[in-house]
Amino acid sequence: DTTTFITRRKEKSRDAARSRRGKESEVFYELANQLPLPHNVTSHLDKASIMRLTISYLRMRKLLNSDESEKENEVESQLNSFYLKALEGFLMVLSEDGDMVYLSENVSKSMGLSQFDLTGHSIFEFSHPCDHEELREMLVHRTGSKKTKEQNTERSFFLRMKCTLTSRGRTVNIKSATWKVLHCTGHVRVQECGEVSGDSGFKEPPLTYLVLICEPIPHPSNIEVPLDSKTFLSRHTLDMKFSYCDERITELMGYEPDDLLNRSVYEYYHALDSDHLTKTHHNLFAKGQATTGQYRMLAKKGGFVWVETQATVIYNPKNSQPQCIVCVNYVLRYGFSLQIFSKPYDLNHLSTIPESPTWFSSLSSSYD
Amino acid sequence: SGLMTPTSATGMASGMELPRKRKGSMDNPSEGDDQHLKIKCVREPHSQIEKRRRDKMNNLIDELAAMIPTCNPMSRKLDKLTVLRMAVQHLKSLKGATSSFAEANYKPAFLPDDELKHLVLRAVDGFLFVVGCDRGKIVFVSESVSKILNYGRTELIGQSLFDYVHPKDIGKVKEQLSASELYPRERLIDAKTGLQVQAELPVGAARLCSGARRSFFCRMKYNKVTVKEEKDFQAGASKKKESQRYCTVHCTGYMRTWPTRQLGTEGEAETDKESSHFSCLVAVGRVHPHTLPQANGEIKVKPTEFVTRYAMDGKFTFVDQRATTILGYLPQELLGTSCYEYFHLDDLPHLADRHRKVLRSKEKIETNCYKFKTKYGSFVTLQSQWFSFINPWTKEVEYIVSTNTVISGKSNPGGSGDKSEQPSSSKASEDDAKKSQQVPIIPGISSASGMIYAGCIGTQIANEIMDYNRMNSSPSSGNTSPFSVLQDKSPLALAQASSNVPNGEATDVEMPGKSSSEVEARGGAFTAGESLMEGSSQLDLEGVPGLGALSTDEAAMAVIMSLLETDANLGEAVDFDEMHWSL
Repeated sequence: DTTTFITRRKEKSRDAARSRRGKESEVFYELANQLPLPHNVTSHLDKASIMRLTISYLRMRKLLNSDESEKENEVESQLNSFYLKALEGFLMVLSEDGDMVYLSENVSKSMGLSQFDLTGHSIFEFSHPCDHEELREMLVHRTGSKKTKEQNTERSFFLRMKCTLTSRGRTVNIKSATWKVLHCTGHVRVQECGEVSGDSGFKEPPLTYLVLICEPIPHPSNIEVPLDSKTFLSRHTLDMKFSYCDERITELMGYEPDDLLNRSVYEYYHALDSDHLTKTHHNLFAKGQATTGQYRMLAKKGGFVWVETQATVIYNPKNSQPQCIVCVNYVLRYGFSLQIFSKPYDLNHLSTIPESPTWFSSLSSSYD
Repeated sequence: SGLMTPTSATGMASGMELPRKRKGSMDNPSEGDDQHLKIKCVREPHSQIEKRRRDKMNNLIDELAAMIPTCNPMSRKLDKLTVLRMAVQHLKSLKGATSSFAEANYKPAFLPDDELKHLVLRAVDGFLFVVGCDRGKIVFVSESVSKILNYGRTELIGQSLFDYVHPKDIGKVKEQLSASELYPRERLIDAKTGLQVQAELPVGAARLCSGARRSFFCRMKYNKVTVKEEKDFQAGASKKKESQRYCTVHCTGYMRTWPTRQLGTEGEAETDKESSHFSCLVAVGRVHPHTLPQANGEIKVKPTEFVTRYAMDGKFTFVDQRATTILGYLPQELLGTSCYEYFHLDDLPHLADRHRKVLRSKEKIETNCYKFKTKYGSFVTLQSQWFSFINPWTKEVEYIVSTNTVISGKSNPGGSGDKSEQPSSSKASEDDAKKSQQVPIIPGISSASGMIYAGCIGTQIANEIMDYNRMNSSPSSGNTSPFSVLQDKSPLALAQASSNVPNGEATDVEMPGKSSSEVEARGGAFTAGESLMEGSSQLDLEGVPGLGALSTDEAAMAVIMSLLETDANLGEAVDFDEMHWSL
């Protein structure tokens, strides 16, 4: 009768589905096992994650395939793992559309989230929406025309990413994640896929990808590394006026800390660097942290010093309002600038100026 | 789907779980619409969630299929299971191809270390180095060092790092390698207040323990030897001694101890007396691209610019902070002072003319090159573009914007650029220099009389246009501009102002449109005027009642203001004798 027929049909359909699902699970299990990952990881992956990781793995293989593997001796091989450990951040490879094709294992040390949580997902899911536009610009790489042959492949930008790590090193749930500023530096690369795929005879289009080192900027309250005598700390009000300065500045730049109080730091920036530094400050105020790259600051008796600064906005813990800015300033070297005042500005000559001008002897004696 | 609850970072994620709906809210619509409205996040029906999951999975399957060579050429879409099976096969085939999998001590990692290293070097322009902490011996350096420092690996290994570090940075590097007591005390910042905290942490042992991190900058030698130079050297030609080139390297790394036996030939017995361990710094040295030594040593820069604003009379009302590095003055030192005080004498006529022009024109006016006196007494050559900002309501000039470009190099056409920049090389500048040191004996006027005189120019020009606007009449003769009076007459004109009628006729005022040649021709008067100030007291305003009580600037201004007023009103030659010096 009809009821039995329908029931049996339903049963069959159910069995078929179960069987299909069973087969599927089996294949997924197999696929997971093929991934070069420890078993304790692969056995806990859900299907979507297995897919993500497989796709990312295959993408990475494509990117690295044409690399000539050098003959390395044993010592060199041992040291391969040191590269990543020596760097302050983690490695990230992004596809042209923003997928995180690869993240090095140590991402969890900086961000809390693990390599497997992130691999295969889109960076846009894990980064601050206000930074998305900038990110898209970084991913673009115009190739082809002769004019752009010299195009700069370097990338350097600040990105806020989700972080599940507390300041004490504990991990929280993704729902309680906070934003962490990362200084991302690297290059856009284009990988030519030389092989003709399959029978269709068409050559695959070249792959554009971004290889980045993503480094968190140390928070001044939690600096792990020792600061040598060529660094000084400064604190500023939000309009960048000095509100405090480490006494070390005296031997490095000639100023007494009191000279600087309530003076705007902009007064001490070299004319040529002011544009760049203004941009850095915009980044600082928008994102909370920034590094300046190398720039010049005027020294007390004329001349200037090259400095690199890490700046952090300090927030009032009670009302989360920005309170002040703390800068860790690394003095790199001295520069000549008598030229500015006694002669016309002729920057073409700067490069031939010897590094240690004699009339700086009073300032540079501390270096000896 | 409804609105997502914003919570720090998670509010932004897509695919986030929606909060469950409150129990009963859907079941009892009678509970009130507000409740229903409040709960904007409603749980999706299960089928919706399932559909999304399926779609996502299908997308992933398609993506995967695209990655597998055997799947690609298929014209028809393969079913899920087949794609997965082919993926498994593909991965298996890859396993056989890559050597890393075959290693005996194979540790599964998404990417083997050597490939990781390649990636790192694609991202950074850098090299790995390992140095002994004790004496700075370079135990290892990666091949990539040749790209950065232009030295070969073999050249460096075994050498002392200090031989390749800038002499003035050796101390810094030593600090970083050691755990000496000379360490600066911990300089920490309190996270809450941003204030510095002096922590009394014991420095020393902790610093040197394995894993302790380092991050610092130092200058390292860059090998400039080119092929050509090498040839010369070989030929016995004496090599010209050049200054050593350095590049700033950012080093980040960590401390590591090695048992000496592991080092083999790479490390010598440089061990700690106390242990058989060799303590090293393992670091990556990176250069930021813009600091790599340029091939031709030239730095291409945009011409240096800074912006200033003047009031109508030429007084600074705004100074760009970039001006300080060029002119030496801090902005506040310039504000309120007249630009004419800084212009070189020779340039005054031209610039005065430009000033006039910009007040009467809606266009941007370019100046020739001119010299501007810096704080230290010397001159920089500038060229400016001036533009009047006119208040749309009052139709008056609010201020003049000046975009100033520093001109470097040799002489430039026009202006005073022909003269050398050195203050001492021309008579005019000599006078200038002398003048600034002298204290002219002029009663009622301070030692900076020369500058006061120059400073009035701007005021005069401003007043000219104000009067012109006021009078609102077509250009006509009869209006004597004190400017032209001063220029026209002998230097004694001003001197005789209080007692004589100026000789000759009053000339036409400089009306708009009049050529500037007249102005330039009169330029000589200024020089004469300067010498006027130098030694003699020809400018005798002593007899002028009430002037003594004024500041020098005001006094001089008053003289000219009166001249103006009189001229404007009377429209004829003035008998200065009868002028009343009203204030």
